[in-house]
Amino acid sequence: MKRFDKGYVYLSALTDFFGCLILTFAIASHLLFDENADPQKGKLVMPYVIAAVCLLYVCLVIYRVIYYKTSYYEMTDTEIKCGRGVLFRKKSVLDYKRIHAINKKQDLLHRIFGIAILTIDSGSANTSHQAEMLIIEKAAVVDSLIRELNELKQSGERESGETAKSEELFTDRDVLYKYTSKKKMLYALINIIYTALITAIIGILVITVIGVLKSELQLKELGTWGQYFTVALLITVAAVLILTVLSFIGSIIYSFVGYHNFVIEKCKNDIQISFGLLERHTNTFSYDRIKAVKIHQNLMQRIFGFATIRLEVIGYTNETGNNNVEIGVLIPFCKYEEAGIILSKVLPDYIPDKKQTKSVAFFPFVSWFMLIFISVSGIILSLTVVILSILNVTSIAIIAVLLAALGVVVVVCAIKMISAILAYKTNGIAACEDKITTYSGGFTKTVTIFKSKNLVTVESITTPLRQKAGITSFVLHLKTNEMSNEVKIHIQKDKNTEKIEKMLAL
Amino acid sequence: MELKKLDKSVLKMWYIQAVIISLIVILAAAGTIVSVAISNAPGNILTAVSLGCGVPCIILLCFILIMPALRYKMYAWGCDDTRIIVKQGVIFRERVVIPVCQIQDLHRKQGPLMMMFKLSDVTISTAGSNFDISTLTTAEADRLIEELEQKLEARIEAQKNEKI
Repeated sequence: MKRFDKGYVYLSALTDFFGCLILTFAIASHLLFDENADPQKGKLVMPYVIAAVCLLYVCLVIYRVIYYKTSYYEMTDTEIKCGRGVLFRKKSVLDYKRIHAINKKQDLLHRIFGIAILTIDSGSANTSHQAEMLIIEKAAVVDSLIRELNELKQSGERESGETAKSEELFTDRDVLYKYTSKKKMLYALINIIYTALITAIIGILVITVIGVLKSELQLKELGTWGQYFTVALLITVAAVLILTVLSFIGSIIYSFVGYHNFVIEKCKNDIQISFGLLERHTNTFSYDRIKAVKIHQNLMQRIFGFATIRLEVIGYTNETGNNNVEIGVLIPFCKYEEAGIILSKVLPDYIPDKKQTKSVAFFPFVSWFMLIFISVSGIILSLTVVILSILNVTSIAIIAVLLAALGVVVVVCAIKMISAILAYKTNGIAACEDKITTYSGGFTKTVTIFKSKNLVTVESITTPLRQKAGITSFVLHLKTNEMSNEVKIHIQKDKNTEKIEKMLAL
Repeated sequence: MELKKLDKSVLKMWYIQAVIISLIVILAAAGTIVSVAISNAPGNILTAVSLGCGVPCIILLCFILIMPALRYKMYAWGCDDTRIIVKQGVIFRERVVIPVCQIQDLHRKQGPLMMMFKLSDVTISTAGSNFDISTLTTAEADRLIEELEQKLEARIEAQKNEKI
């Protein structure tokens, strides 16, 4: 039985010290330098504050030491055992052959102290929000543990005959994909265009709304129409420029630092994805443990023909309850047309098939939304007009409020219409032999590819009118993370229900 | 597969739930109007508040009181050796097919009102999502859980033999 590395205590003591220091400075600035503060009283209170913070620091250090002293892990012939926690003790036992994903995380401070965090996940749906095992060890020890665990996992699988494939898919250790600087720059460029476009649209909307209010309420403080438009335009251009620069900096940091040295490697039946400069991640999982592959496109990516490919492997990048990394990214950024080629190299069983069905009608995409949204808006607006008239509000102000509200309703309806057109063109399914490919989404498009053995349940949703027209929508529930286990495909022919239900493993 | 309807006592319980929610809504609306009246607000403000609270309250009450009967009418469920089917929904009608072999856990839940009427919810956990069969009599829920356990064991055994 081994304990976690001592580096954890030193690192925690240092971070806690800085935390306490910041807390002390924050309280001191509030007590001594705040406008409404009494400095004399502050000086009297400060020693007690310092004593309290020192006490807090001592408690934190004691907590860390107890955590270290009570933590342990042990590897037997068949399983790995791990125990951690002070107030809430957690003991976990995991059979090697049940291991779903092995993740290593090492941020800048971890590197200084030479430690790394190893998380091991069994893929249980009940604990999918957090890793089942967590080991804090020296980086070199973590690397050797990963190698050892991979070997033990594979031998365990071979013994139990759980491995679906009789032969190894990949024979040599090989690099399958690299996230190049060119692609990172393209990613930043698309983000810049997206930010500029959204800011410009919001700016135009605000200018229009204030313009309507200016004409209705005769707001003289806004100057003449010429002055108003010049100032509004300048503010909008400035906002576009500032936000674009911020977006560029954010994107560069995100793609160059977050995905520094992004490499996908294969070794026997395992796939290893590693990335990150300040915080280095190394995630390993078996090919057979993949539940689904998702090719995701947001609006800008759709316009320019790019995509992100994500993986559904329970446990992949799940951390210590602090998910600050995009869940399960396989390819951060690529051309949409390249997705199939990349997948044929990396995951040959998950190449998307062409749509076999498509949405059969456009009207159902908007009918219920429009009906509910317009009737609720109508009731609220009528009620508002009646209440405002009872309160003797001037008719000009009521008209201004009505126009502004109507403007919002029209904009929301227009957005919904565009989203519905995109959804009508996107939604569809392709089902063949043991693989299902679904096309879903509106502004954002998602192509989900999964094996039929990972289809858990099929839900079909219809309304009385749609039932008469032979239309239904599907919700397919997959064996994946609880946050992303549903795929919705809208407005399909209901005779497809039988075909999909037949693919369920009964 | 023949689908079953829910027990009549379920409708009674749903109506009691609806009445309790209606009372809370009415009390909240009445409380707001009374507090405005007590604060000696001008007549037009009192009328505006009464209208603002009253109209949404009436619309909401209509929905709350109509829904149990419609929900009861549309709800149906059934199970055979291989799958469970649940049909529900008033406007949007859902039909869920859950394969028996995908069941991971079975749970029975009861709230205070359910205990009064000897009713229970059965939650079926699968590897992907959880599904509810609401609301069965407790005896029926126990019977269903026992039946599903046996079917699941038999199905797993059959699948093992198929593999061999």
